[in-house]
Amino acid sequence: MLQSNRCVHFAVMGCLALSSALFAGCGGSDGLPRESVSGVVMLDGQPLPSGSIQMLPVDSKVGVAGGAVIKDGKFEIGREQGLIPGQYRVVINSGQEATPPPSGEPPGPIAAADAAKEIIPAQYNAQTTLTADVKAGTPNTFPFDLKSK
Amino acid sequence: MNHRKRRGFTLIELLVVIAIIAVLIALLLPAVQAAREAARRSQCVNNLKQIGLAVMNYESSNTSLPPGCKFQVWGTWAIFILPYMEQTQVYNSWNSLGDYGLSAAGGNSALRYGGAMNTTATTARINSYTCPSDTRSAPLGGIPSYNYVANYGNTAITSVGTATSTAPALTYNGFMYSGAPFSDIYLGAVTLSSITDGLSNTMYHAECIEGQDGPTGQLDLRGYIHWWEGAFFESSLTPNSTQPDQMQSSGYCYANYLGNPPCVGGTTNFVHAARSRHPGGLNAVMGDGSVRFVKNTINIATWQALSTTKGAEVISSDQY
Repeated sequence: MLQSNRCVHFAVMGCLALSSALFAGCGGSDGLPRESVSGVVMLDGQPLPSGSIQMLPVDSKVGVAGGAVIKDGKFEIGREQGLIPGQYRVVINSGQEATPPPSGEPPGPIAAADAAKEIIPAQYNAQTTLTADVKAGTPNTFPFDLKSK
Repeated sequence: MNHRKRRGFTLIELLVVIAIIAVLIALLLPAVQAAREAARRSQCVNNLKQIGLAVMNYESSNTSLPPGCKFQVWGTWAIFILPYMEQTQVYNSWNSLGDYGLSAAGGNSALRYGGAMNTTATTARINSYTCPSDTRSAPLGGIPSYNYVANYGNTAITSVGTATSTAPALTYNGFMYSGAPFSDIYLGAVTLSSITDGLSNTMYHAECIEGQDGPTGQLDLRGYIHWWEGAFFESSLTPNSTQPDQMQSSGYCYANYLGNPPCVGGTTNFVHAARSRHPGGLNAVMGDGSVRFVKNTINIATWQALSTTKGAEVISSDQY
């Protein structure tokens, strides 16, 4: 009885091992040495409520660009879609909308005056001076402390 | 003691058989799914090819490329190439009189893509604009979203100083605007002679993902190509990028729901990445009518070079 129990065990374990081995090969890896990146964005000492961050390779001929949505001052790019080690220019945008558009109907034209305004100064986006150095093997956590003046 | 030999399977034998069947199914299922996606992708490529050919036929008849859009609301390329997509009936139902000079009483709003005079054309679903790899979204105002977007260049659509046309931003994130095959009709038509990079090095159209509306009616208007903002992609964001799309308003996109791509609302520049549901990249049709698969891992310099019309970049075909 003991013998057959062990055999059942082996069979079940074998099944599990085989199927997990089969599924292990199905990762979405694209062969790049990607690293996860996360951080905190503060504007005048307060967490930036909403916005976006883009990280663009300084040498645009190598590597991939990445980015994330900033929510309550935090952003995160997972490892699966992360950045490869290197130097990055960092662009941070956050818009302030004048009036929310009417929903439930096809959008009409938007006048330039009604369009949202950028609340982050140009030195953090259009003429950015922010940089980030993504390294392999270490946690890539970047704090960005922005000043609106 | 009567030792009768029983006929039948032992538990072990059964388990082994089940294990073998499980392994076989596990082997087969991904292959079946991949074959289905391959079939859908080939349909998707075919549609893109038709769009590319329609643009070329438009050029043959009109000596310029079709306008990307007529301001924000009076039609996009998706309308203008319809006669060359064998959709003449739909095109004939389109009323193209919309213009600035019109008052509300003169039909300004009725002549918009969502206005009473034009919904016959815009609510008709065009199969060739639909990629089977993506999921259909709920049509807003009866007007469906689609899966192909035109190339608006390598920067962004800007809201600054655009009272009478929609304009590309001259710089965006350090990238200089270097021409695009599609823009506003009020900025003038693009002719083939102005595409100095060469037609085989310039993208006309690429794919996009239909935004799925949120659970309580939040709109996601990506892929809403009869509306100017949904009709284009800009190459300042790489294919299927984690960089969020920058929409005109946070009320026009709803990220991280049913696979919606990342997005934010409300800055002075509107930017939309080309995106697809295909694993690893997306398809783009070039000016010469060829459809190329562009990988997500393409570097941004090459992706931008492919989208500009007069950037004079050197592109090696093994870079994407």
